[in-house]
Amino acid sequence: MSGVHDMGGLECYGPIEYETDEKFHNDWERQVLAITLAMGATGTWNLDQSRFSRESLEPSDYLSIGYYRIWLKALESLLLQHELVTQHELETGRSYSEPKQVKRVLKATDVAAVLKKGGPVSREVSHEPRFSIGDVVRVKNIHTPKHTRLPSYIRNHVGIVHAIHGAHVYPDAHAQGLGEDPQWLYNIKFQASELFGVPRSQHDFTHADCWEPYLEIHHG
Amino acid sequence: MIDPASVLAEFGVELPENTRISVWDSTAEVRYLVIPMRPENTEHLSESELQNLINRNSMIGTALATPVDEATP
Repeated sequence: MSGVHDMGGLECYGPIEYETDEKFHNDWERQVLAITLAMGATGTWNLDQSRFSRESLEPSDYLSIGYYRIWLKALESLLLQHELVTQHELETGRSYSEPKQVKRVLKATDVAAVLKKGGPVSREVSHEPRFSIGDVVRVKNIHTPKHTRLPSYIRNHVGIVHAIHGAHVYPDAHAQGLGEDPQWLYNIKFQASELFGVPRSQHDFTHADCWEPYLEIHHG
Repeated sequence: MIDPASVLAEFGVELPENTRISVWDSTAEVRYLVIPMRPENTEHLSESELQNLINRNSMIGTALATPVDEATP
């Protein structure tokens, strides 16, 4: 979705407010992280659906409420969508309905082991990658109202296949609940001047990871 | 990122004009490990002395490793 979360290449937000090493600014943020991970672990939705939920917030909220409030609002929206909580329950902070069954429950004693294991998204596929290292490719001019990890600043630009990462879960399909649909993932190297115009040094580059459906061979 | 040199300057990193800059945008689940450039005159240092020269920012690409003469033991 073209939205305010897609900030690559924008310059309107002013200088970075540089912080040293704070992970949390308030104690409630620790709880939001814990609840978000615990609910993610139930398997009611996947990582890409939770990303899309964050991207679907009101733009003015997304830009102003801060990182963990974004997480919380997106989590509330997913809980409502999946009827795990009612609006009334959210507003009153009390449960009025029978707890619903979820697929899995992450027990406190298992958290460290589960987090250490991670959630790899690389997959084996039987077909060969369509592109090879060194191929000159154009990023397709795709505009979708759904979730994508194709940043707008590389759309319709030409780059070179720099590396092949293997096949990975395809977020565009996964976020729609269409299964993992693994696709080959490539690292694409763009000249800074190709993306951002001249004058940019001919020696500066930007790399971005792109799934195969984002790309086509450039006949230049 | 249109102007990475200026963004690095916001982190207090001023690079010589002719430095080549490559930006790696983490658009998938792949993460990149930054190996900081080895500061000069460090060939004789032990592993723990070298560890003293790196910090969080030098491992994420927003700082250089600390020069030997500025390191606190």
